[in-house]
Amino acid sequence: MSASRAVWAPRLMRGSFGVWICALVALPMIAVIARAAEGGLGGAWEAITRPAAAHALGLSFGLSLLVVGIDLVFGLATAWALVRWEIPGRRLVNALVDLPFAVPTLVAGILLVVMLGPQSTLGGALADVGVDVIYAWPGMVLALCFVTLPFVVRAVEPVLEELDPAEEEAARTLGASEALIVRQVLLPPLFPALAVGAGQSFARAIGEFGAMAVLSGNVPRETLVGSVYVLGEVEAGDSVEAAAVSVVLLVVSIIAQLVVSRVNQPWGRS
Amino acid sequence: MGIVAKNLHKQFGETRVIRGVSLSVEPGEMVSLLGPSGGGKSTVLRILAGLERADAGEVWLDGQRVDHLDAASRGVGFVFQHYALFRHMRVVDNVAFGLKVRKVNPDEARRRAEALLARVGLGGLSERWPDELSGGQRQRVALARALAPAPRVLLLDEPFGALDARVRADLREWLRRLHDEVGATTVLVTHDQEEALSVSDRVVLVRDGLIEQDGSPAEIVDSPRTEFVARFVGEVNVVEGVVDAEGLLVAGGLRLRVPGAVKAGTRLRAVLRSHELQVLADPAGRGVVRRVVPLDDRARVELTLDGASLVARVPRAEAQALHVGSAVGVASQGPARVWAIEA
Repeated sequence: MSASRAVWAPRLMRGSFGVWICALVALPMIAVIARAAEGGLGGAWEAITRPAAAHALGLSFGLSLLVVGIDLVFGLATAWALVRWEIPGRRLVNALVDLPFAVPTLVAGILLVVMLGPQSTLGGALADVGVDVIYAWPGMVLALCFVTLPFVVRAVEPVLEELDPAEEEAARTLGASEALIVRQVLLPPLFPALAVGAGQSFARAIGEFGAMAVLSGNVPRETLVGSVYVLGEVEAGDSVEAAAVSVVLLVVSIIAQLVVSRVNQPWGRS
Repeated sequence: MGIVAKNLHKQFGETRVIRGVSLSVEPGEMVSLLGPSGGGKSTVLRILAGLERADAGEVWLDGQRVDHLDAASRGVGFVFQHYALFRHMRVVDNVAFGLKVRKVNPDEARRRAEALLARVGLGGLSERWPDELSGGQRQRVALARALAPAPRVLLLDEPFGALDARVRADLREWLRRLHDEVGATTVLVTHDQEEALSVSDRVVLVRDGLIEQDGSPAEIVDSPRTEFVARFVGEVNVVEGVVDAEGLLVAGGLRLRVPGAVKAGTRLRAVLRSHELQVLADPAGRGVVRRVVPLDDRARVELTLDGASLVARVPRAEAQALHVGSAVGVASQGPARVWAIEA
């Protein structure tokens, strides 16, 4: 009885894992690729290179790269503050960092519209000096940063916690300047974690829909991003074209994940 | 290079960690700062290194005042309790770090790092990651790294504190030999009295931010100046009692000779080293053996005498006759170290 359970339990686990991978990850991907291929390779190529589609994809990738850059700086700073500083109300700050994970991104978009939209005091003042935030790329960058920052913070935090401040002190007593310490002692051990956070942020930014839908304005060839473009195509009944653009978003996102997973950490053996 | 610290003070928040510490270390000397945890000895060391800034007081290295210099400019070697090796650098790159910082060319830096590693007995481990080494090996790498830029002052903060007893003892002897070869002025912080006494030329006992006693190991052991020093060094029994009409201190079931003439009725506290107690099997004795622990050439005997617990160290040959439950007579050899009991 117990012997057969010992055999069956791992099989059941493996089986569930297989079903999960197939049903929720592999099959939908195959389905979307199959749908994209229905119009032939030429049709798919035409679907993603038409000006509105190409612009939407380019905008998604460009904004995502910019957002990743901002995330790395502010994510590292936030993680540093959480780990190394004695902040009053640290637990609250800690919870706030995760807030974007808990709030629907649509709501995040609405928050920004309310705060910075043309009707708001702050947004109005900015508009008066010629800076459009909402329905323009600055607002889109803000929203994407809001959504993706926690990935970098949470990736870096545990590694930072493990770093012994004595390593920096050791470098100091050996004559290293502060800039050299940051470059050669602090950043290298954080690099793999930063890469993981960056990859996750990038993939998330590419896929972001809710916040983009409410605050980008969705003007084709101006502020329309890839994910929202896909919805437009679906609503227009162009499911093949929607699938083709989806596949591009998907592939780039997977490539980003693969690249960061290749950043290895030769010293982490124990 | 000599080290002089004058009247150092340091406060963290409301806690006064150092309350006036002065210290002088001769060039080439090896001095231990010994004391209980939290007594401020590590802080003194960190102030010497420039890792902490004293609130008041002066630090002089080699006749020059260095309070205004940061750690990077003082040129002292520092070794941390938990090694603090750069985890993302191979062993040889760890050791070469201080040389590369000083713009020694990479080939030369590597050659010198390899030579140092060979010297600390780690030749052949150059290409390992710190994670792949044992604690003792890591600390030797840390020492090689600190020695690489040839500092004339070496500061060691509980360097063997994270290692097991066997490795500690080996490394301790090794460190002393290395010190004699290298000749760097060395200050070692430790809470392990055996370590401090066996390795250093001079021991400075630090407690509650103040120096209790500063002297050779022999002076610390044989002539403790304060009750704290007497109690801290060695294995001791502390007993309290009153001086009787014959001038003997009656305490812990013992009658103890005290130095000098003391008025009858004076209350005193005596600190008795465990090896100063004589324990002899005696059916009429008032002591009862509770436990006998064999050590190298001696045995540790735990006993009770008139209700008080005492520890004695006796030669193994004498311990043969002692068994748990056997009655013994207890006496103290020589005059006891006594201190007045503060009201």
